[in-house]
Amino acid sequence: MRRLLLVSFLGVAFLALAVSTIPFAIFLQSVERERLLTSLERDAFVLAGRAEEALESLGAADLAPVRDLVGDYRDAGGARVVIVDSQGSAVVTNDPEEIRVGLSYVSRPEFEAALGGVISTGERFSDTLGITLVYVAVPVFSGPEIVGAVRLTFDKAVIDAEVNRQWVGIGLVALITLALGAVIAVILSGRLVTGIRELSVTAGKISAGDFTARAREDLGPRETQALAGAFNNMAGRVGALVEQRQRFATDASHQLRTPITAIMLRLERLRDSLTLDAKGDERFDAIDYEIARLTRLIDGLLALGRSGVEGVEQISIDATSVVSERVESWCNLADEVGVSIVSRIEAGVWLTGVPTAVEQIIDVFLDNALSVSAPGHTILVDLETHGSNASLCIRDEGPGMKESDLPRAFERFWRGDAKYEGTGLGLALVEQLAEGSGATVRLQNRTPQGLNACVEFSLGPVALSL
Amino acid sequence: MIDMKVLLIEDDRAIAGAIIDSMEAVSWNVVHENTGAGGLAQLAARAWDVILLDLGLPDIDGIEVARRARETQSVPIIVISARGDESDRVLALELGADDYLVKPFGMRELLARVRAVHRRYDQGGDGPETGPLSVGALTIDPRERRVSLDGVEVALTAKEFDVLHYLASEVGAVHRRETILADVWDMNWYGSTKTLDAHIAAIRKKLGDARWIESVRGVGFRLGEPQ
Repeated sequence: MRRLLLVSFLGVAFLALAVSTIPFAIFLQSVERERLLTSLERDAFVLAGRAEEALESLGAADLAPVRDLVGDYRDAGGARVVIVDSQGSAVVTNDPEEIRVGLSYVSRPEFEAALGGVISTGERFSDTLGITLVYVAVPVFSGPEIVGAVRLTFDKAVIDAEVNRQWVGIGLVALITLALGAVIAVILSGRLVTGIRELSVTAGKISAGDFTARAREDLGPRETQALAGAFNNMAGRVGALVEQRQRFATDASHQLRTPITAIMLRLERLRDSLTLDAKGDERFDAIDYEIARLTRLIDGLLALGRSGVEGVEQISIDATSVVSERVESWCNLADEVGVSIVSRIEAGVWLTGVPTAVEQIIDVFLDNALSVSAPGHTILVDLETHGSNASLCIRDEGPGMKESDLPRAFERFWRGDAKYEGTGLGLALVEQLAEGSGATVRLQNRTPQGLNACVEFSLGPVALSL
Repeated sequence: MIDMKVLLIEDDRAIAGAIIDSMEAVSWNVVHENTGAGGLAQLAARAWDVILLDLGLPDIDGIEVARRARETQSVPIIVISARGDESDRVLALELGADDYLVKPFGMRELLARVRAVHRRYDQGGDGPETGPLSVGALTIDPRERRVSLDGVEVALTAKEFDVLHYLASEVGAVHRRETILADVWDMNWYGSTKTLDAHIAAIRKKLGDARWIESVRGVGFRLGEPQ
């Protein structure tokens, strides 16, 4: 965002400079050229006036002061001067050696024009000198009669250098403007962006579960500050809602425990005060069983409320140890009902998850697997790594699930086959723990029969156990 | 244990009524107070054998009541609470409660706890009971944390020992799963109810006879000599 701001700011500045400076420079260049030509022309006329008499007489005495004059002119940095008589032969030049005196210039177009009475200005390439010349040729009048012509030539490179110097000056001004613009852009965009950056950092914290995070409301322009204010209000409300929701589950569970205790106490008292036959005892046992189920449901809800994804920090878990320990402790129970648990547990697997996620998930999976297993069945437990993930799979040989039921199995209170005991919260809890751990869960039917329950975690760093 | 004087500080009338009813059935004297302030006044006014204290009181926090009671009196305090979190439990016990009972609980369990706490005070110490328990051929020594059957030592893990010891605290009574879990394991999570089954299975195996511990379907477990 900041780069975009900088690029657009500087881009606009650059465009504005280009649009205004380039035509200005071109205009300046033509003005400069005009000025030089005009001054050449003026010099030519002055010289023509001074040469008039000398050209009329062509006497050496008359020519000498003209020769001195053009010599001084050259020494003062003026142009090269060639003065020809009416026949086009050079009579005065300001070349140091005056080697060109006597040469005929009548074939040069500018002299031809000047001797014809026309002022001629322009530039042409001189074969003799090998450079491009800018020239001005003017006729020398004596009354109505043309007695000669004066030509001033100037190396075009000198004029160009002068013009270029102006270009460089304009370019420098443009560059300084751009640099100043860049400084302002950096300062302004910084001011614009810090507020937004602060907001994005805060939003990140909140989505990671820290609902106490708030953005500073004094950064950036007024709009960003207003946005930060609105954002903080929103964060506060969302935080309060999440907390309320979490608290509701725990509060409800706690509140339910008190009346259940009252029921249990009253019931026991009632049972003691009655003389019951076997049938009566059975009825009381059934009530006891339902109370126990209700209690488990409440505990399940409490566990679900606690394992909410918000605000629970992920840790590194020694999955190999946890899974081994859990499998070992379940083996005795499996033994009692004639089911064997076979495990293949990779050594040294550490994964990332919320605390107790692995224990709770494997307990729910094994609990489910065991309750659908018949004597003689085998339950397979696999913990293995592949790439940057680790999967924990529990496969049973029970009846499996109807394909249409598989997606619903994680819904709260959903119970596939009511003939199996359960609260319908186990898999919901697994899903929630997996979500909090950044893991994925899937259930698949096995062939010929059975269910494969898998959860896929990300590998975590090996932590030192204290 | 006749004529035990019990002060019940509990704001929920339904559960208070049930507790009073249960205790009066065994001829204990129960006085009920709805508020922490009322409870503290009663504490100052008379001598009590035991105090049952709910933590969620309308005026003063139960923990604070326990702390103030501890400052002036040497009387057993049993906290009854709907909150079973380890942190709540530890805080209550540190501030002077002698036992912590998580709701829901049954009458037998409540009476057993009251008796146990009271017995400890009568013996003059406030440490746990340390004498070995015997159930038929089974001997459980809490001090040494050893179990022997017919004089032969049975090797139990720490948790297995805790479970067996817990069941042995009242032989023949059904102990609820949730209560055992809340007391023996400091945390309670959903999947852990089967953890208990797993430990019971291990204990049964080590005792060599599954009948030592009877499962009461859906409710809990009972320890008894195999008949």
